[in-house]
Formats: sequence, structure tokens, C-alpha cells
Amino acid sequence: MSLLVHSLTGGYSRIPVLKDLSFEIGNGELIGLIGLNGAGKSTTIKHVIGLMKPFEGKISIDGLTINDNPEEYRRKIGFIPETPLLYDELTLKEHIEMTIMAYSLDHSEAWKLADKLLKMFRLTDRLEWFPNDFSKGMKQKVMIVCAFIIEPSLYIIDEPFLGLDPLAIRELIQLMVEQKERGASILMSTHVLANAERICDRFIVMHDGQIFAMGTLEELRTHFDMPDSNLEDMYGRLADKEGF
Amino acid sequence: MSLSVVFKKRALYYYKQLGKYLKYVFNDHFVIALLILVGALGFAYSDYVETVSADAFLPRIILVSVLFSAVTIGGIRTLIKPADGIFLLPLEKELIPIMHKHLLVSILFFSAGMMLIATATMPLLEALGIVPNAFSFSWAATLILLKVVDLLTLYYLFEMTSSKNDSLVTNLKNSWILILLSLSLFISVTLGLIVTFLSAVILFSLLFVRKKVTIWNWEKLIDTEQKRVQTIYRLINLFIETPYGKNKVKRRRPLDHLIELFDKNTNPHMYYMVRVFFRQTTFSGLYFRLCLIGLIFVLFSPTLWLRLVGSLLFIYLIGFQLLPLKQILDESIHFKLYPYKNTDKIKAIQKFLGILLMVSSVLFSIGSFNGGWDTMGVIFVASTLFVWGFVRIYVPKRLGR
Repeated sequence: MSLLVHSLTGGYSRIPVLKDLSFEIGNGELIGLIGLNGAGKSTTIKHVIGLMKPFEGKISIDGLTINDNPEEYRRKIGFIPETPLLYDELTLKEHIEMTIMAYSLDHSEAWKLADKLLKMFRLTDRLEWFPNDFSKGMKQKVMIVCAFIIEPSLYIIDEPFLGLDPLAIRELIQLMVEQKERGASILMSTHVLANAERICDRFIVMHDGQIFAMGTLEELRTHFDMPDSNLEDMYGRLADKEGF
Repeated sequence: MSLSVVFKKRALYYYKQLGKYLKYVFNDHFVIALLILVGALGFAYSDYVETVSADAFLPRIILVSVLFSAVTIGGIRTLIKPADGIFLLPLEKELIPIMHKHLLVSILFFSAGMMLIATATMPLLEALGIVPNAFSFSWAATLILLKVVDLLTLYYLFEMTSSKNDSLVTNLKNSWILILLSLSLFISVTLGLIVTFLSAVILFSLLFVRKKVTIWNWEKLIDTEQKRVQTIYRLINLFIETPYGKNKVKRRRPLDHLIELFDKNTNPHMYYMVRVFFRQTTFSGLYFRLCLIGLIFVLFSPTLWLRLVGSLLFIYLIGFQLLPLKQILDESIHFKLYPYKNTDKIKAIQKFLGILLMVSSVLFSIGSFNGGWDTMGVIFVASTLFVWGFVRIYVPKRLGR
């Protein structure tokens, strides 16, 4: 079992945003985290990465919690944030070097992988540029490259498709599938339900800091008694009905 | 490339940037203003010290409050950048020695500042009979150790521990510093030194002696450093335009009525500026701080001309520092799209500055009440004329370029 979240309660200061959250992601599994803005998706992600301390509950990756060994725990995570966050004064090449250093990756192996990814995203001739001057989509590609050269056991990807061109979306999905086959687990938060439906194995539907529903598309259909409908319809009708 | 090399590079870059900007800060007109201010303050201070009797109560209260703000200003220079919250996450352990170094650097830096403050306050302390000689080592040591207590608490806040309430810790620290200062100034400097020393030692051992796993509170680290750098850049920005980020915005609902007083939804520039001013501390913080310092200066100036120079100088400083409001309007894409001219922006700024500067002018006139009615009148008329000239003549000339 790769990621295990057990009755997690947490939030900012003393007010809980997340209430008694429990879920798990197995090896080679891609889970879609969906929910309206403010449902608690990003807060969940922050807790998993260990940027926030849970009030209660336990989070472990491959059986390891952040308190056991923070470095080892963090090395198991590759994170692509919703908004690309880059260093003003580092070039694209230096961002990759920074990642190699921070995650103690094998230099030549990591660069071999990086070169492949850079070529895939057509960034090879931008190595000496400052990515902070790039467009949103290209910055996002830099974040993707930096996360995928880590080859961690858990990917956390927050809203990856916005701003990416259609080719890059295709490549990213291809990359995610490859990583799944390698045995990595992926937690992906997104509003692009059509993409989510196509690639995710299971879904976690969040609302108001709680898990509203969880399961495969088929299971969700049975759960909500909406056969043959797609995720978008299901979510829309559900939201209307529940008055989200 | 290792982490310590990364931070060494950052430190080098940071000081290079600071050095570059400080050259512009200490330009001729600021140095003159500074000299006048320091000279006037020094003059007023030495006059004041001679009139102080050993059992006076008020000077002690003022000392406690001034020293309290001096001790609690300034945090740890960590040089953490926002992107570190993603790229450096697995380097929790490697960051520890680097943070130790940053703590040490900050302690050394502020110790020098505290030495200066200790030296400056010594004559007053001697006049009050708190210290026996013209130089008291214990007093300097107390101030330095107080700053160490302050910095160690800040360091503690950088570490993530469960069930920690940041504002509670900060409030406790501030109250304790206040208590220690009062202890030193009202009872005994020696006793104050002993208790302060013990607090610093206890804090130190709590932080560093116990073996534990450190998980950094990255968001806190990033936030704190951003705020610290912004404060510095905001000061520098008064003299030269620097790339600096925006401060966090707070809703401040009770101020809504005040905002309505300024603007009756007639002008989009005014509408936006007033709200920026009150909800973001970039400008309002500067305004209120300078008003307060100016008021204290005017209140304690012994002569009419000193009060006059002080009022005009502070009104000028306030007005000058609020001019970047224009940048706020210029940077917003909306104001480029709205069907208005550049002169409309300047008109709105003139109106807003006029109101704010008149408020400080009235404040400074009231502050000079112990000079009698005629002093108040002179200050009010002179500063009103100055405000008029500043807003009507200087502002359009400067912003119109």
C-alpha cells in the first residue's frame, strides 16, 4: 500500500478544514481527487506532503510517516503544484540541477531522463533561459520535468492540465501511465473531469472537508444510481441535488 | 552543488542587491534630512536628560515602550525563497546547520544594533539613577540577551510541532520581554540581566540540547522571509523603485465606514486606492508609523522652530512615501482599460494625499499643544500651506513625468 491516510483531521490554526478523512492509494494506482473549489483538496495535499501538521490522524507512504524520517518521506513524493513556483534567478538547467541535489539523484541517470522529458516538451533549446519568464504552460512543463526526474513512489499532481497545450496534455497523460506501470501511485486533483474519467482508476469526491463518495466510475454509477452517465453529468446532477 | 553552496550564493546575491540599493538610499537629500533629524533629536534628547529627576515615572514608561519596539523589530535572515517549498522539501536535515548559521548571523547583527541602543539610552538611565556609571555593561548585555530571547522564539516558530499556537507563542514572548524590560528599568538592572540570561539559556536548551526530529514549517519560513524582505524593500522603495512583492491583504471590515468617508463611489481610482490603503499595510503601515513618530517628535520638542521643522519634515516624508500609490494604479491592467486619462489618476492621488496629509498636519498641531495656542496656530498654518504646495505643485510635477 503506497499512500495511507487514516482518519485525518486538519486545517489552519485551530479550525478543522478536513474532517476525519480516510483513504488509501495502492501501488500503480491513479486516484482522481475531485470536488468544488474550497472542498479541501489542496489542504489534503498539503497534509500529505507534510507542509501542514494534522490535528489528528495518520499519514504514511510505504509505511513511513514524516516523523519517522522527514527526508526519506519527502523523497518518496514528487509534487506538481497548482501554480508553478520557480526561482527567479535560476535557469531551467539550474532548476534541474537543484532537483538532482535536493533529492540526491544519480546525476547522469537523472540527466538522461531529463533530456528525454525536455525533448518531449520541446524545452531542450531553452536550458539556459529563465523559466520565470516563460508562459504559464511552459512553467508548468518545467514543474512536470522536475517532478518526473525524481521517479518517486507517490506523485501528487494538483490541477495539471490548465495552460498546457493539447500535445503536452497527451504527453503528460502518457508519462503518468508509464509511471503507473513502474508501480508508482498518483494522486491527481483536477477540475477537468473528462480527462480524469479517461485516466483515473478510482475517484475521491470531496465536499466540505469530507469524502462524499469514493470508488471506480462503475462504483460511483451504482452508488448514485446513475447508470451510463459520465463523471461530468454525475457530478453536476449530484451537486444540484445536494445543493453544493 | 550542495545546499550550503546554494545559500552562500544567495547570501552573496542578497548583499550585492542590498548594497546596490543602499547606495541610492543614502543619497544627498536623504542624508541631509537624516542629519537634521538626528541632530534635532539628539539636541532635544540631551536637553531632556538634564531636566529628568531620578524618581521620574514617565521617562521609564517611555523607555520601556520604545525599547520594547526596538527589541521586537527584525527577524531572522533565512534567505528562504517561495520555490524552496517545492524543490528543497527533502532537505529537512541539511537545512538545520544552515538555519543555525542564519540564527547566529542575525544574533550578531542585532547585537550590534542593541549595543548602539544601549549606548544611546545610557545617559537617560544614568540620570534616572538606574545605572551607576556612564557605561553599564550589564545594561548592554540585558538588551542583547533580550534580542536573543526574541530571535530564539522566532526560530522555534519555524519548526513544526503539533498543537502550537503561533499567536499565543508570540504574545507570550512579547509579554515576557515587556516584563523583563520593566524589571530592569523599575527594579534593578542586575536582576533584569540575571532573569534575562536564565530565560535565554532555558530557551536555548529547549531548542538545541534535546535530540529530536526537526520538520520545518515551510510555509511559515517562506511567509516570514517574504515579509522581512518586503519590509526592507519597502523602505528602499521610498528612494528608488525596486521589484517588490505585494503584502498580504486583510479584510478589516470595521474600517468599511472609514473607507466610505473617503469615497462615495464616484471615481474608480479613489475607490481602489482607498481600499488598497486600508486593507494592505504597505502604505497605511508607513503612514501610521510616521504619523506616530512625528507626533512623538513634536510632542517632545522644546522649541517652536524644532516643532515646525519636525512637522514639515514628517509631512514631506509621509507624502513622499505615498507617491508609489501611482505605481499601484499603473500596474493594474484594469486602469489601463478604463476610459480615463493619466491626469485623472494624478487628480485622484492629489485628493487622497491632500486628505491624509491634512490629517497628519492637524495631528502635529494638536501634538504641539504644550507650546500654547500661538504655537499650535503657527504649526497648523505652516503645515497646511506646505500640504497645499506639496499636493498642488510637487505631486503633479513629479507624477506627470
